[in-house]
Amino acid sequence: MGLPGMGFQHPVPPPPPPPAFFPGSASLFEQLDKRVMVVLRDGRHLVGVMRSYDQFSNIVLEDTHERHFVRDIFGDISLGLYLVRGDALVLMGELDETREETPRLRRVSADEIIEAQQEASAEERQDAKLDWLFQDLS
Amino acid sequence: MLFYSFFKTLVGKEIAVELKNDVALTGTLHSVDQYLNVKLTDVQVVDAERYPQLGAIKNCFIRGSVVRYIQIPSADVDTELLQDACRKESAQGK
Amino acid sequence: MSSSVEEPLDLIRLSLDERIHVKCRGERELRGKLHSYDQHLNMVLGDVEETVTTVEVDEDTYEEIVRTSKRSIEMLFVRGDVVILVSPPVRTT
Repeated sequence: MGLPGMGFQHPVPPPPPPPAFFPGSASLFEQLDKRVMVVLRDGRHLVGVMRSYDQFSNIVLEDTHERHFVRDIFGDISLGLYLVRGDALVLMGELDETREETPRLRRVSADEIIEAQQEASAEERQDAKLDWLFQDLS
Repeated sequence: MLFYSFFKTLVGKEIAVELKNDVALTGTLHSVDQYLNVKLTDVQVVDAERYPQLGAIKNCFIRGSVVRYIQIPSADVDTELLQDACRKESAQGK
Repeated sequence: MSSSVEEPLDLIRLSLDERIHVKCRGERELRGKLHSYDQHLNMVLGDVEETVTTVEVDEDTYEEIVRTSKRSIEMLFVRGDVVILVSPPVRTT
């Protein structure tokens, strides 16, 4: 008769939707568990799977890579599991993996991109990051 | 809340978001929140030649704090209504 | 509804539906019609002209070259944290 140990299980109600998930509210909910590109205030571009977020836009990125761009090539350097602080976040976009490589932008290996960066002139190396850099950080 | 309500009326419209680092993105406003974070769909970077990095993104969450301007088609704005709402809101603040 | 000027934001309220001049961070100025604002100084301006000023120093002559570029935008939301000052447009008479 409902005594502990008798094996009677109350049905568990479904969890309520996350508080941010209301129609019309800009939510990171839709990007959960998706592969995203994150741009940071210092101009860095990270890619990874967004596993969680909070009201400050702090996010957890799994299998994070920093994407380096040199001229018409790009390469990813593996970083691991990241917690990105919300106030460093500029934008987060869901990646369409079929469009990452284009006739104008070719993917290369991590070693190749590092080599390309070292060979590129000091100005060229800074270009991609500087373009995206927020002035108050310079 | 004034501008949060204002942007809710613009959901579905084409806007251009200019960030404080001068990068600009155009897209359809999907959603907005109280911090004026915005989500855009069909997003494109203005001057994609200069900023090829975002060519593969489908939609985009932009943190409100990094925005400088948002350009809106004037046809989508009822300026009288907006001014009235502004007057009401500034009166309520007292 | 209060019509007396008590605090600085009330001065801005007087400019609703009027053309104003806004000075922004990054050597930018805006002139446009004020349609709305809030306590953060977020604003919506109509019929805007933005002027960006840059100063270059000539390497040889050390002369300062001041350049301005302008653009027109029909309707513009401006985030309050870039605003430095708001004023009625400068009168020439």
